[in-house]
Amino acid sequence: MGSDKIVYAIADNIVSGLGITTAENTDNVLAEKTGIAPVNDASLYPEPFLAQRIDDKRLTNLPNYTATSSYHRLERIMIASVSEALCHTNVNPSANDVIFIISSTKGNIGLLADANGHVPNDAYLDEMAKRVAGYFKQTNTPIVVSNACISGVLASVVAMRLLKTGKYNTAIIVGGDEISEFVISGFESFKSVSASPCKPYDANRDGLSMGEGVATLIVSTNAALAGKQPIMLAGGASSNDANHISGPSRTGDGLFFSMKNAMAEANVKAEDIDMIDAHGTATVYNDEMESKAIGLANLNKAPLLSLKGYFGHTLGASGLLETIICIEAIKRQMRPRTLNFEQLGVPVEVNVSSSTQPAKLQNIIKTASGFGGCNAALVISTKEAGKAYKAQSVPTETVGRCTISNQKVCLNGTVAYDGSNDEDFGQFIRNAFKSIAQPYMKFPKMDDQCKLALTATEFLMKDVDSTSYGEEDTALLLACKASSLDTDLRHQDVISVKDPYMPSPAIFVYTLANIMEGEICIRHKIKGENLCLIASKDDSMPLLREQANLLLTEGRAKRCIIGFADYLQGHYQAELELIAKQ
Amino acid sequence: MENLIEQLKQQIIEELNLEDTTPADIDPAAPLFGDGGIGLDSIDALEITMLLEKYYGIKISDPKEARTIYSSINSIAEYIKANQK
Repeated sequence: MGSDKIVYAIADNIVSGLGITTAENTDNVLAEKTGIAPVNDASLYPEPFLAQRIDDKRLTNLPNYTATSSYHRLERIMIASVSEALCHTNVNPSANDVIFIISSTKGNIGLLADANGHVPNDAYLDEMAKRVAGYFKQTNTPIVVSNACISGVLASVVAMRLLKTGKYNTAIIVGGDEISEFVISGFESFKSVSASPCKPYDANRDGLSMGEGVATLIVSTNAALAGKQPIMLAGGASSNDANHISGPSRTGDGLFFSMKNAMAEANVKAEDIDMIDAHGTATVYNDEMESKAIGLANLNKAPLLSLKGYFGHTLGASGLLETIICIEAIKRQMRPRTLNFEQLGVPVEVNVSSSTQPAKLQNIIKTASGFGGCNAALVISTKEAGKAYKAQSVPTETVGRCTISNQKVCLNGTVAYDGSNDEDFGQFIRNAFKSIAQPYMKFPKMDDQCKLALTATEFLMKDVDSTSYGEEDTALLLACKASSLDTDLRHQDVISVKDPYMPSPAIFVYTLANIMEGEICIRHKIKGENLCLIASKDDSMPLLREQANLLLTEGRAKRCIIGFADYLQGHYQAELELIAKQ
Repeated sequence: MENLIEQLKQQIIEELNLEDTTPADIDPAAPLFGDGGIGLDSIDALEITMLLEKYYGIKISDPKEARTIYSSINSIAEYIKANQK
């Protein structure tokens, strides 16, 4: 483990409807321009809706866009965004001390429309990531963070950790998601899209606006690349509400835990925070929850920004795109305004930024919250005061291990449930769960991926004494290869029927890989660190083990559930471990 | 009305995947959401809205109105009777 490494933000790019460079996007934010506009396209949704969209005609002005016509649209924009960011720094993207970290919720999801129930290879998020990193001749397997709406912030936290431990010197973080029928129909089915441009924290807010974007942030421990006025990723954390898979916490404690831990790592106090850039989607309950978390963190007086009125909700890009705007705000010492906010409408008093103005900005906390109850926070700072990681890692032990495959559940090497006679996966997993748990009303509603992961956890934890552990003490770090593709195909099937057109919220909510973590956290009251990676078992387990070790060493968790749980079209495999300090 | 109530229970169990619940478990006068009833949540409420459109041709777009209508099986049945064309 490394000790005193500092993680500098060294170059970036944003592609959105507000521009194709960071400078252009920031200029437009400071000029209070919005990218949100009416969309009337029956191939995306039967009725007109509002969204912020990238102007494809402008993409040809970006480096390496024209030459990549054999790639899918999102990949092309990602490659172009990375290429433009690389123009501002001296980093060799193919060097072996560089890692690509990709943040996306749905990747090339549009490919499912013509797939006829068969998953094309490029629809796998890790395959998309390999295509993007491969374009730059990078041979380190890219890391894919797919953690719903916190993906972009969490990808930055993961990058910071990997660099602070010295595993890599530079990370190229790329976040992106597109406007597609898949996501529009899903968010519309949740009735969470507003008919007018979103109004974060406002008394009259009634939902979000959708958006699309791609963002690249290059971070490095190489001080020579940092420039004269360096800006750093100084602290980061994640957490879970353990409350509901789509509804935010009623107390705000989950988001508060993330903020508290990120600020502790950055070594900043509430009075040091010059601005909060929160998620601020403008749904009634998200903004309400955020105000409570901000109150718990004693940050009521800190100017509160939401950038959703400019960009809409850009999903897997949002956390990264908004982090870059924060970095730019520090560089320019300009605080943007929360667009469309007029009158405070959240239960805890907060100080919403209501005018674009020069301001002293040294420490900004960026937060995000998403489906699956996940939260993340990142402190962006001009001070080199962040805490170093401990040089020696603590000894750990594997307390338990549960595997599920071939209709058998094994706990610590012994068969704990044998379902050889069960007809299919559905019957097997139901019987396996029932063999050790009381009826649980949420179980039959879950998709197969969640049933698999929850059942493995149920067995793993059944004889474990948890009495000495608090809610924040357990971390949950999981990976899967197929993300939520099994349920993605179901949602795709539903929306392929146009009359009647009836996308189902109960299906759509499971089209995110990290919902399995949400279900586990609710059932087992886990509010500690969360991470959901998309990778094969062989690629993910060593990485998860390292992350768990870091959290245990740094005292951020007392125990960690790590593992791989993957389900697609009847094929499944789960392997979960409980790791604790010795 | 009796038939409508039984039919509604059946449809809710099927559409909402309430695998371990039987129609007899649902008291038509009891609250559907939160503690004390059968513990439905906000996603279930959206699914009930779809169910009413699918089987009864009734569109409920205001979430506040939905909250009142969905307070129990009885109140949903009454709303269907009053509004079905």
